[in-house]
Formats: sequence, C-alpha cells, structure tokens
Amino acid sequence: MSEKTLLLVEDNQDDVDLTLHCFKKNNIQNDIVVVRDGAEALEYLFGSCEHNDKEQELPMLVLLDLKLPKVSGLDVLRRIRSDPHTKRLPVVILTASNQEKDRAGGYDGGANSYICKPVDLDHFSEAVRQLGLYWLLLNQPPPPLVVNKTST
Amino acid sequence: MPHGHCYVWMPGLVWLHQLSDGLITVSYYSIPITLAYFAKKRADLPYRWVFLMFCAFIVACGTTHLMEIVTLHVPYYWVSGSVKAMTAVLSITTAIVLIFLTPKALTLRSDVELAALAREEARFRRVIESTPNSIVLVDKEQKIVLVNAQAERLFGYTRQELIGRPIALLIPERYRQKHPEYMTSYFSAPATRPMGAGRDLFGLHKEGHEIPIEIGLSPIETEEGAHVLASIIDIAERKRAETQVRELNESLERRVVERTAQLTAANKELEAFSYSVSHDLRAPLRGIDGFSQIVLENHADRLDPEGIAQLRRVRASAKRMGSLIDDLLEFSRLTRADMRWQKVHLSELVEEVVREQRERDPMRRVQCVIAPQIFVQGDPRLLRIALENLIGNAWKFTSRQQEAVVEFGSQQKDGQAIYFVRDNGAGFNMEHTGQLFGAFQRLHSVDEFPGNGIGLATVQRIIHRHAGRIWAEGKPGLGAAFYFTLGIGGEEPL
Repeated sequence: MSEKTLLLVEDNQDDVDLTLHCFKKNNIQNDIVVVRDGAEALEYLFGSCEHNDKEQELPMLVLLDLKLPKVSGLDVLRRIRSDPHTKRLPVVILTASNQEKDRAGGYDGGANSYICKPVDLDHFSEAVRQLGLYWLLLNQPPPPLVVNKTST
Repeated sequence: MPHGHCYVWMPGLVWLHQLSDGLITVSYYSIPITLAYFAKKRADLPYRWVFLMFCAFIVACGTTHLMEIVTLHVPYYWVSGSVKAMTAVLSITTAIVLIFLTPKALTLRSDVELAALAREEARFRRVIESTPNSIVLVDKEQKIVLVNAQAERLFGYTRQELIGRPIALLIPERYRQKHPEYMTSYFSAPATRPMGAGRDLFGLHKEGHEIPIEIGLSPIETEEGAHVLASIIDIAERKRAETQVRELNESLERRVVERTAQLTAANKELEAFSYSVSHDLRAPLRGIDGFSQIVLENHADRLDPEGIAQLRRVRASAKRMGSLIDDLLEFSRLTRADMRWQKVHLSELVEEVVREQRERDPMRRVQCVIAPQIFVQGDPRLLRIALENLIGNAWKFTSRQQEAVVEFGSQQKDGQAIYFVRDNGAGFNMEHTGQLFGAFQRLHSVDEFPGNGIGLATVQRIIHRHAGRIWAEGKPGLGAAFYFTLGIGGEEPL
C-alpha cells in the first residue's frame, strides 16, 4: 500500500463518483480507498481481520463525511483521536452540512479541517484541487508514531 | 291632768294643736309608705336600708305627734314619753348613720354625671358595634363577657346565647383541647398580639362548620379582673382569593411547562428538519449538478446545442435550489438563535452596512442620509442582518434611479420610537404589502431584481424577536419605506 493513500469515508455513491471525478480531473494520482460507512472506516484503520496480519500502514489523509450509517463520522473521529496509533492522523471533514453544531463537533473532535461540499461541481472540483494541493503536497505529514505494542 | 288644761280649754287653741298634730301625723305616716314603695320599686338604689331607717324614724315622729293629740285629752304622759324616747333613739341612730354615710353618698353619680356616663357608654358601644372586626371579650374563667354584632353574625349566635358561655363554644373540636393551655399561658404573660402575627386559625360556627379567621389579642384589666379582648376578622374571602391565586398560578405554571415542552419539542423537530435538509437535500442537488457537468464535459460531442443549453439550465436550477436551501437554513437558524441583548448604536451599524455596500458596488452612486446617535437595546448581530437586508433592498431597488437616495432615521409616535429605511427606488403597490414579508415571496421577477425573497421575511423575524413591529409604505416608481419598532420604546421586553 502506497504511503500516499487517501481514505474517503462516504456513503453516497454519487458523492463518491463525483469526488473521484474531481480527483482525476485535477490529476491527483494517489490511491483512494473508499469505505461506505463508519464501521468500515474503523475496520480499515484499526484492522480487525484482513489487515490484521501486518503492521497497518495509515493513509496520508482521511476525508470524512459526518452523516454515515452505523458509526457516525464524529464517532470515527473520536476513535481516531483516542487511539495512540492514529491520534496524529490528518482528518478533513468533507460534508454537506454547514451547520454550526456540526462544525463545532468537528473541531471539538480534533478535525484538522472542515470543508462544506458545494452543490456546484465546478466549485467542488476547485475545492478538491486545493485540498489535494494543500494536504498531499504542501502540508508536512506528522512523524510516524512508534507504539510499543504489548505482546498479545 | 291632760294637756288641755294648759290651753284652758280655749276651743280655738285646742283645735289649732289638734288639727296641726293630726295633719303632721297623717303626713308622717304617709311619707314612709311612699318612701318604702319607692325603695321597693327601685331595687337598684344604693343604700336602700337607709330608706328603711328613714321610714322607721319618720313613723316614730308621726307617732309622737299622735300622742300629742291623745295627751291633750288624756294624761298618758308615760306612754307619750316612751314614744318620744323611741323616736329619739331612732333619730340619733339615723343622724349618726347619716354622718357616716354622707361621704359615701357623695361619691354616688349625679344625674348629669350619669347621663355623661351613659353617653360615654353609648359611644363605646357604638365603637364596638361599628368596628368591622368581630369583638369577643373573655374573662379569666374563659367565659364570654361581651360580643358585638359582627361576632354574632360571624359565629351565628345571638349575644344572649353567647354571654356567660365558655369560649370553647366558638372553637372547633380539634383545637379545644389545646386552647385552655393557650389561655392560661396568655394570662400568665399577657401581651398584645397583633393580627396576622402567625397562624391561620379557625372558629366554629353555630351550624357546625369552621370559619377561617385571624385573631388579634389584647389583655384588658377591669375591676372584675383580667380579660382578653379578641378582635377577629373573617378571612374566608381572603382565603378563597388566595386559593384562587394559588390555583391560577399553578395552572399557569403547568401551562408554561407544557408550552415550553411543546416549544422545545417543536424546536427540536425544526432542528432535526434543518439538519436533514442541510445534509440530505443538498446531496441529490450535487448529483444533479455534478453529473450534468460531467455529461457536458465528456459527452458534449453527442449533444446538439439545444441539449447542451437544457443541461445548463438543469445545472442553473440545481444551483438556485442550493441557494434557496442555504437561505432557508439561515432563516430558520435566526429563529432559534439565542438573543444577546445589549445597547446597540444603530446609526453606526447603518453606516457600516452602507460602507460595505459601497465597497461591493463601487460603481453605484447612492446618496445616503443617516440620522446620527440612534441607540437601541437589541441583539447587534441580528440587527445587523436586518439592516443589511433593508439597506441591501434599498440599494437594489434604486439601481435604476439616476439620483438614488437611501435614508435612515427615527421618529416618535405615542412615546414610541419608530425607525425607518426609506428609498426612492422601484417601490411597490400597497395592495401587495401582505406578500411583502412572506418567506420566498417576491413582488418583482428574478430577472428584474435578483433575490430569493427571503430578505424581508428575515427582517420581520428579527424585528419580531425584538418584540417589535414592521410595516411598509410604498408607491410603484416612487420608492418604499420600511418602518419598525424594537420592543417597548426600544427597551428590552420583559
């Protein structure tokens, strides 16, 4: 798995397709792993079964929707921040909501950024372009955390 | 030798003595009868026994005169002497008694004094009878000594039924046991206890029901010993009123709780609704716009120009709906946002809004007349939104005017400040004022003047949240004026 993997947590297929379209249009070549709900996201990050055998590589960035089936985006965020292995992982909330409550919840939960998806695809595409530029090129990633795992 | 010899039996002289003594005797015998009759009839007379002494002494005197007549003819001088001796004893006794009695008799009230006393008592009686309170005087034996008409009415007894009866008669069974103790302790340390100094009490009516009362107590020392004067008021009416007020308060509180719960529930629903709108209604729009755009990008070669134009219209519609949703969400947020009351410099706020308008639209020439030093109580954030909309509208609707004028000021009417934003723009027909403040209601087409029709609805909601009113005046082509009040005199409503 590439070190430059992106994790997209999004339940709406249209939004997944449009997001991928925008990435492609803006020549962002990174692997994009798509998971469709909060539970899948947790499974991917904390590896319950198939990723269990080896030390899990973390994605470079998580694009997290808030309103998700099973486990909500904020709960996923809370899990990420509370686990020593993932607590520095950059998380950008990418959601339809511009509600104050959600923004507050996102930042309180430790999100690194909060982006409200515009209706207009041109605007959305521009947002994705800037997002890729900033988080994948400009932003310096956090140093990897060495976690002393107790033998299990 | 009879006395007649001394008068040498001169008929004139004998008859003079005989007739005089006879008349005196008759008088002296009749006076005691009258006195005795008087004394018997006036049982209340003080020193009645003195009258008896007078009777005896006068009868004795009469008898001596009778003996004079007898001794004129027959010389019973021993008998007449004895009668005289008896009269002397009675006279001396009476005289001595009188000497001792006089100082005492002098203390007796004269008629004038008695009349004054009677008037005094009548006045006292009237005072007692006319006080609005019920009065009950109780002696140390806890017997009723005096009551007034109000007490009769309150307890349902006549005064004849009450005087001399134990006070317990007027006390409900459940307090009777304790009451003598209270009385005893009260008499041991008597003090005036004012009305309302403490507990609610109950009296017992003749018909057996209890009467809520309040009692004031005053100790009274009289010749007959210590008494307690109880001044009683019937508080049934007050109790009823109190109960009513309490019930009203309770029902009001209950209703407030219910309404608050309903309101909270409604607000929660509204919030859930907004949340859902915000999340779910926008997503399909993004799909509509996004995939239309992708079709335009990737498959334009397979569409004719009309198809391309129609797809563009699909995109425009989706975007417009997105902006409507945003406005709607903002509008509902304004309704729910907490009010932060403070003093607001409204004139300065208008200046700021105008400055921003000018920066946004540097090509426009608009003359702005802003009344200085207008201060109000309100939420500055909300008032700013309201003014942005009002000034923004004035700006927008004067866009076709050569000499655009926008005015802000205030005027006083009936002691209330009325604020206004006036322009000389497109105006409107007064027939349509009803639609003016409705959400998404527009009087002009979007092509003519752009907008979603949410501005004035927002303004109205903000003014309503300030407990104010808003209304508009206008004429097509001659401009519009929007008037609003903020609370009562611009003060924070209670």
